[in-house]
Amino acid sequence: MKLSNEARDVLETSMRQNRVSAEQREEIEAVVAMLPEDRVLLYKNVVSNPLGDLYRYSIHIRIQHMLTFVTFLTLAFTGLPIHFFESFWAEPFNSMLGGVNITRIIHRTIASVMITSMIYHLLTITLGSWQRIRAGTFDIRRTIIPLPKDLRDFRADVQYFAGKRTQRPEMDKFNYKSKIHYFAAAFGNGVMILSGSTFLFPELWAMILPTSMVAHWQELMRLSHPHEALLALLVIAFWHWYNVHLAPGRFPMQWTFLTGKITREHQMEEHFLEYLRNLVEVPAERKILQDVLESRELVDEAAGRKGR
Amino acid sequence: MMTPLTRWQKIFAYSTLALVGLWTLWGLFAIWVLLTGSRG
Repeated sequence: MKLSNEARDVLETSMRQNRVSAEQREEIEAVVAMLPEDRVLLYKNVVSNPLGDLYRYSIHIRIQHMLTFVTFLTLAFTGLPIHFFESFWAEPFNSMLGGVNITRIIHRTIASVMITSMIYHLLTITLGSWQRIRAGTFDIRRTIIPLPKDLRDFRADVQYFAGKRTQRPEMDKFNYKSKIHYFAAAFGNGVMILSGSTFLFPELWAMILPTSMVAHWQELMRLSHPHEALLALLVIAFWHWYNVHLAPGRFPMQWTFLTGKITREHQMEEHFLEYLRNLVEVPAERKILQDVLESRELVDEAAGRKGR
Repeated sequence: MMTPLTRWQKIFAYSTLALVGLWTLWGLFAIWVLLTGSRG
């Protein structure tokens, strides 16, 4: 495979940052040269363990995801009967927990766990980046920070799904989809914390804001809290869960949130640039890939494609 | 191509999927309530 300029740059940066020897470089270049131009053939023919083959998330990120996931579900589940506390269906639910006041206490306690998880996450990414900057291994393309390439990838991916391209774009560790998802969640958390704190500490907000704005602010926050919750419900149920449970290649479940690993197939398809870094960082992966490429002809019978 | 899941992995994965399905049903109810319900 002749690498694109972007892919070549990612590979060179990774080899430089990992201080690979001349011998290792030769080995990496040899295996990259063996890659077929058609990446679809590559990921359709590799063997993957559904529990994951390649490292993706640290234990900290997995704990944070678990905290966010449990608190989100509980907050949504307790928030609805608080908002509609006089409805016929909310009354038995609140009674089961000991009354709406107890539901409120549970909701606020879980909210504080969610905020703690958010702080934990900010600390993890800040300290992690700082550590990599000091070690000289930081690469902004490997972070969740949006870059102009994401727009190009988005356009190319839409073209692929519309049948105008034969291959998906070469995307990085976090592709445009991951970034939209991440910042939507961050924005949602921000709105929920801000509006929730307005309900909990109205006097504080009245002190901070100009008098003429206090009533409008309260009204705005009262509208924002349930509607942001509605948006989050839609995103989680119909987008996130589709991507991690129902999408082809992921069914019945993507295990990354538990194992911290991504399947080889998924990494090659949606995060090809990160896969190139894996070839640099994981010598065993070079061997596995070399064996696949040497041992058989690459075919995709469904699409009628054939390769080296 | 994926290696097959073991029996327990399958039980775990499909149970998780079932929970997700149930929660989606609840989510649909929540969405209906939020869009149509009036408070009280």
